Amino acid sequence: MNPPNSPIEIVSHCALRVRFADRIRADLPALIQSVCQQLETLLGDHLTDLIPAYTSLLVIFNPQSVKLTEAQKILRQALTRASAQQNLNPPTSHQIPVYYGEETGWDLAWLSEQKALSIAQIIELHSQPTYQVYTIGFSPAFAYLAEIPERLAAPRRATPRLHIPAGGVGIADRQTAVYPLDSPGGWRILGRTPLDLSLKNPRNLTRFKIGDQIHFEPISRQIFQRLQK
Amino acid sequence: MTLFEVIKPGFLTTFQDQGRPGYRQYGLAVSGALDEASYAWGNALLDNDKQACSLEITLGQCQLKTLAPCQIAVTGADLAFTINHQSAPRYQALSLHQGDILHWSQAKQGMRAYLAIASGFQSEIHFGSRSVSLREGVGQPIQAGQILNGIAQTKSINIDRPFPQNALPSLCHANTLVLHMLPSDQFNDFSAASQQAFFQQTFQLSADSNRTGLRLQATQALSTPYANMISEGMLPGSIQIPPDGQPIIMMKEAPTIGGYPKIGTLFTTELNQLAQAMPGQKIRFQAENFIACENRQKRAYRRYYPYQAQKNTLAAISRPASQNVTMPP
Repeated sequence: MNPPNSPIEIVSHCALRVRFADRIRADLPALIQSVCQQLETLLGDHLTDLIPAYTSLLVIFNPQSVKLTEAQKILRQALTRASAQQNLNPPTSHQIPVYYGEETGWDLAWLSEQKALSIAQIIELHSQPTYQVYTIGFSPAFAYLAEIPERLAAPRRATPRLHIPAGGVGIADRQTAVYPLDSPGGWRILGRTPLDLSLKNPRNLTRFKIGDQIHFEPISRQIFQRLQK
Repeated sequence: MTLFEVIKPGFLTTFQDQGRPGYRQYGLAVSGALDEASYAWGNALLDNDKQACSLEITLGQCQLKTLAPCQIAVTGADLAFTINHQSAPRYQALSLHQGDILHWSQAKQGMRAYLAIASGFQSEIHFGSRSVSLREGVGQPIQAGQILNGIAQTKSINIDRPFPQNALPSLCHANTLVLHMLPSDQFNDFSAASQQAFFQQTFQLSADSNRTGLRLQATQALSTPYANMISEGMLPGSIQIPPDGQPIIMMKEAPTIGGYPKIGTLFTTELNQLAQAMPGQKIRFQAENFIACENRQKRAYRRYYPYQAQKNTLAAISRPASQNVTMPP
């Protein structure tokens, strides 16, 4: 679908949503970023927040300063001007060390049985690809990464766990991510990174940007314990 | 300067302002006072900036000792507010003396009271706002023994500033609270039976509710149209239907992105009422088109918000430039 013709949903008196596609595509993050950049300029002070996601963009504006019909018009204009080639942010590459061990990879055994793969094969499949950051959300600095190999794809747990420790590396469908904070979560946990991604270091908020590339690097228990300190 | 000492922090008492617009692209919730109108009145009664920081006092059990003379206004829920054990008025600027004991003992009507002080509380700024966001570990609730800081008073406050009685929020919903909802485009993906069940039943507000979201207990099951949706943005007021069929209304600390289908959106005026609803509150939904929702919202602004807040209630704090995020001190 051409971006200018993407459907716009009226979500609230202060929010519009554009849906660009009905499935995840590798070219969408750059396109959506370009729409965001256009909106920063075109909406200016009327803009409150932008929430880019895999296939959609939620635009939140100040309804006291701009009418919904006007915001719709501006959004159409931004869609016309945007292009996937215009993305101005150069991507950064990140290496994330992960300890895929039995005490950190809570679902490794389950996954191994479900998929008839050895744990070594799971580690190899998960750490081989270079992942792209598709969006940031759910909680601060939580980067949604895709795509994991089809052979590894696993559904979320029926009942989410109440506590996944900060640094937990999980998969859900064909996505993967690191939990930056202790939180509840339904993703299947394969390991843990010793890196501190929490807001105790405020720079972590902007550590990952949409379009960045991420590579997981398997590490041993010894290195994990040393880096954790 | 030091203005109060916390004797009892209460069930949950947090610094809140208008929240932190501009950070949702990094996954940070907007946060801020849950009942915007009551919060806005606290500041208006003291001629404060619209974004001045107040205390949001949840359910009471909160006691503060005044360390220096200052002016305050208490708005929102009726939590049996007293000064030196004498019942004290809400929605009115009051002058305090050193040693005065402020006490909110228990919820009589509503859930959340706001304590505004002249010029606002000077708590720590995190990412452009003083609002505490519990789920994200941004700031903390007040603790016993903590000293709360403000600014020494230089201006005198018009203590007779009138408050129109019809602006008092309705805090007691003895019967069913009817919430007006704009159906989402995903609404049409729900089965006719689920749509009907959504509008025909009376839900109950679960005790398992907080500043992140309000959970509703359904008696007639709702089924979700799909289990594996591609996650997308949401905002306070979004109503998600997870696989167990129990609706969740997103509030100000909600995640920015969610993966459950959304049946519709509640506007701010409905969220202000919900911010004061007690667990067990009976709730029904009624669908309205955009024009009707918007008109309802405009009427509510005129009636419940103070005049100066009416002009610009939602975005007094400027957004950060996307490449230049302000860091806390």
